[in-house]
Amino acid sequence: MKAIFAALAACFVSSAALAEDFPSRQVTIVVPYSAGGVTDTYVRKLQPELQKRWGQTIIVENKPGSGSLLGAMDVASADPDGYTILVTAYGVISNEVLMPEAPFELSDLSPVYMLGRGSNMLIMRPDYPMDGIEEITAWAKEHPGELKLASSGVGASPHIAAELWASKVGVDYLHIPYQGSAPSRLDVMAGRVDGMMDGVSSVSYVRSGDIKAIAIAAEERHPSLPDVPTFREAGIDFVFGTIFGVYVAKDTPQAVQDEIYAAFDEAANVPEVHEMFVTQGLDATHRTQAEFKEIVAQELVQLEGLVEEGRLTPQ
Amino acid sequence: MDSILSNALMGLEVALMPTNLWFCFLGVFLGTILGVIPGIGVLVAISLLFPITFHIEPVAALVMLGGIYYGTTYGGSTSSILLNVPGTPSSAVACLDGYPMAQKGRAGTALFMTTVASFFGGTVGIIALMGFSPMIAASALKFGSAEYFGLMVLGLVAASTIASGSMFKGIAMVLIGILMGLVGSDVYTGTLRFTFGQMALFEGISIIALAMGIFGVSEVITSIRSVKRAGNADHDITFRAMLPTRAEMRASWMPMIRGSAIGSFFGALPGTGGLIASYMSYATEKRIGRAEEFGKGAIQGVTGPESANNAADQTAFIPTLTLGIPGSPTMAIILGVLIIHGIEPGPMVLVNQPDLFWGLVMSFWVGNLMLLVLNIPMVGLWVRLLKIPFHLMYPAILMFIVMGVLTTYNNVIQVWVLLLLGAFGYVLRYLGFQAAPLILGFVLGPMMEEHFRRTLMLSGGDFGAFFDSAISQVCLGSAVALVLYGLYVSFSGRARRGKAGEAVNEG
Amino acid sequence: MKSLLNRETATGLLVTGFGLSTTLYAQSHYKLGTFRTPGPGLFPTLVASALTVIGACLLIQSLVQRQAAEATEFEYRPFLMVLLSIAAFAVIFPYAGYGPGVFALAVIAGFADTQLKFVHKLALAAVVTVIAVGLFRGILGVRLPILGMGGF
Repeated sequence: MKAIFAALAACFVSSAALAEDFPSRQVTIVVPYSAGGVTDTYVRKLQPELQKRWGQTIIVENKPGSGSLLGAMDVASADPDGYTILVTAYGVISNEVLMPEAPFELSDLSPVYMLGRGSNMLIMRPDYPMDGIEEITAWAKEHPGELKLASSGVGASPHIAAELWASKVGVDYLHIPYQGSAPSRLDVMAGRVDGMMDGVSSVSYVRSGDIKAIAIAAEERHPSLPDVPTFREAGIDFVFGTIFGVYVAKDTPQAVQDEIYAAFDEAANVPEVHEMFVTQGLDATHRTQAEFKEIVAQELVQLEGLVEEGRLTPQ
Repeated sequence: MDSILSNALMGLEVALMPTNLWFCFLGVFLGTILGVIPGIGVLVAISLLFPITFHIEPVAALVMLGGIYYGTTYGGSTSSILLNVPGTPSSAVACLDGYPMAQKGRAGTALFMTTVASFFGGTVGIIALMGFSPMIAASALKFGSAEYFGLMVLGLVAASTIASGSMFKGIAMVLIGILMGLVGSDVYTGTLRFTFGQMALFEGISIIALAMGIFGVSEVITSIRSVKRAGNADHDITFRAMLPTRAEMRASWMPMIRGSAIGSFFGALPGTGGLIASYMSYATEKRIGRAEEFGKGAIQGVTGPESANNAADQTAFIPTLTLGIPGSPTMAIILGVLIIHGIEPGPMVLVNQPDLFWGLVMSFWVGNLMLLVLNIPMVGLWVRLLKIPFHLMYPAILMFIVMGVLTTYNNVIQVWVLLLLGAFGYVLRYLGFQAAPLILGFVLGPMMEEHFRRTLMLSGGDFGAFFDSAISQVCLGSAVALVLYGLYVSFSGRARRGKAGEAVNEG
Repeated sequence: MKSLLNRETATGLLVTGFGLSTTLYAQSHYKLGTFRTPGPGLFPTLVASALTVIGACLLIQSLVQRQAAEATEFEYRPFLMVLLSIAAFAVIFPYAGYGPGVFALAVIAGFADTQLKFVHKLALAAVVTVIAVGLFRGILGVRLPILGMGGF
């Protein structure tokens, strides 16, 4: 089916002509998450800058569902002309390993630009009796399968982060998946689950005391939460975060991909935008497209490792 | 109280923005037209016009959908009164005394008083919505998976026992709806279920194709014959003929107040809605007033239920917007639309998107005001619209349905899905099943599963967790009581409200 | 009443059969898991089992009460013509665009009713087609092919 579509597309579209004057019409950015989420916020921040450079209308389309699969599938099966762009977090990578039977392969997409890398943070319910990561780890080791950690969905970064941590320290915990980070965080606040490897977007809830932050899986402490130690400080070599990236359908002409790369790079480095990324704790180091592809490949290897350990079960 | 007032002001500001005002007008106007035309109910109206909202801002889109929603209810009573055919199923009650009034030459008054009663009911409903939503959203932390599950069970049981002809048939519809809702990938594991290798089913059955097929297509099939039999309206209405007498005004106040209270309650209760509220109000008025007048054109039989109906339309938004639980099939569609527009309904909406919530609520009020002002001079237009014979209209209605599905999904496979679901919907109707519980089950099914599984995981497999909190106990207790009541009714052989049973297709 | 297999009984049998087959399908194709860690098969199996029970209740009710339900007629003509018209649209659209598709839909749908002469049906279909194009392209600006497969 897909092959037929591709062939049809090839008939109608002459790729050489496209690359020269990209973009010559409206561009759609697909965000496979709800409006108001982190990824969506980033995209809407970038949108006016991109619009300025390209002089074309840019539509942001939120397409949540099945992790981030629905939106990713949409972009993968769109005409490979660069007019449909995917901006997504981690799910697109982990689904590749977790859902091998889904009608979508990561290789149907071409990674173009990496906006940055977040870091996950262990947050616990406000009335949780322990505060230190060593203490919690020790307790979890003694009580296998009793620590209840929520996640925003199977294969989302909080899930993968929890599995990686559990693998590093050798504990078994109980994974409780939700649909989206808002409901999972709500249950942490209400004390129905013990905690969650949340993204740093929960900083404001930590400040208001609705949840407490235990440790952060970053190289350094978070600028907004200087009191929260890193896992490394506690002797756990665990650094992990979601990857915000820009992808297009794989057969998109390289010239078009280069233009998309350049446009996003320019937009992301507008001082105001860059500053937002930094205050959000995003590691927005400049990376080339090749480096981004390499990082994606490394992630896949790490995930395969978790599968081999039996911590992740592909469906 | 203060914060409600300031929020209301902020909402009013949003609602009065020119674009929102325009979409509000468009919504109530189109809604009224579609409501007037027999064969198109709220669900079909929303599904038809939903693709238009794709390209506009979420707030404007919601404002417009809301307008279509209560606009249809306003319009629905027009054809009830003039033709004795409910324009939308939820205005079936308006036939009982509205049509006799029209036969006595008081059609104008009936239409005028319906509009006034609708506005009154709508206003009361909006006030209830404003007062209770923040309270419920604030106690959202009390709602865990077990509580959500209990509330959903109550909603589904209520939808299948209170409204439809046979309780077993209603429950069967709910269960089939749940199963249909589970088609696609499992939220916990991604396992593809009941897809039988069909690409079109990987994302699940699409709600628009389902609503259009089960309500739209099967409604058209049924109406081709039945509307022809009903004949056409032949009334000319002047403004003078619309004014009620002083006695009629006096007789209407109390029914309107009682109706609004009844409507607000049943609207907010998941699973029930406008139709049940309007029947309850009718029954109440009949008990209070002189029963022999009813059915022969008693004004109380028009104004009470109309207020109830419209109050329920507004309060139905309480569980939908604050907890993300749709209380009626129409709300289920609106919930689906919210999600497609990228808004996750739930307690966080009030916190994160207060402009959206309050803007929407205040737009309801603006829209109701527009309806009041619009409908009085436009009654003549509706009368003329009803003179168009249905056999000239239904090919266009079908075209809208098919094009609506096509433009929503951009994929012709969904038209085939529509065809299958349309056939299924008509067969269900023929076998005496109600489609409304099916839609509700369809939307709540995946949520119920999520909460069911999570409750068990959190409790370590202990079913007692479903009954732990007071909220769950009340919900599940009421659900059990409803089932027992339903059992009593279905085996005591008592005939159930005939007309209600037939008409509960939408609500 | 008249025959053992009246409509209500048949309905009961249908629902029971559907429930039972879905139960079997779900529990054999998807992992049930345990109550502590429920799998993707558990909930569908429970729901489908409940449906089987309800089907049995419907069956018993139809046998016990034997009330003749209000017999609504099965409207074969509108039923077949409406479905056929949708099918015609679905077949024609991918090759010829929605203009011809809507026209065919409206003509065939016209046969669901017997009031109009054939010429009038064609005229009505033409009007519906114009409305469709005018509304969806003209007003809403939907970019679907009106005529042919390509861009027009």
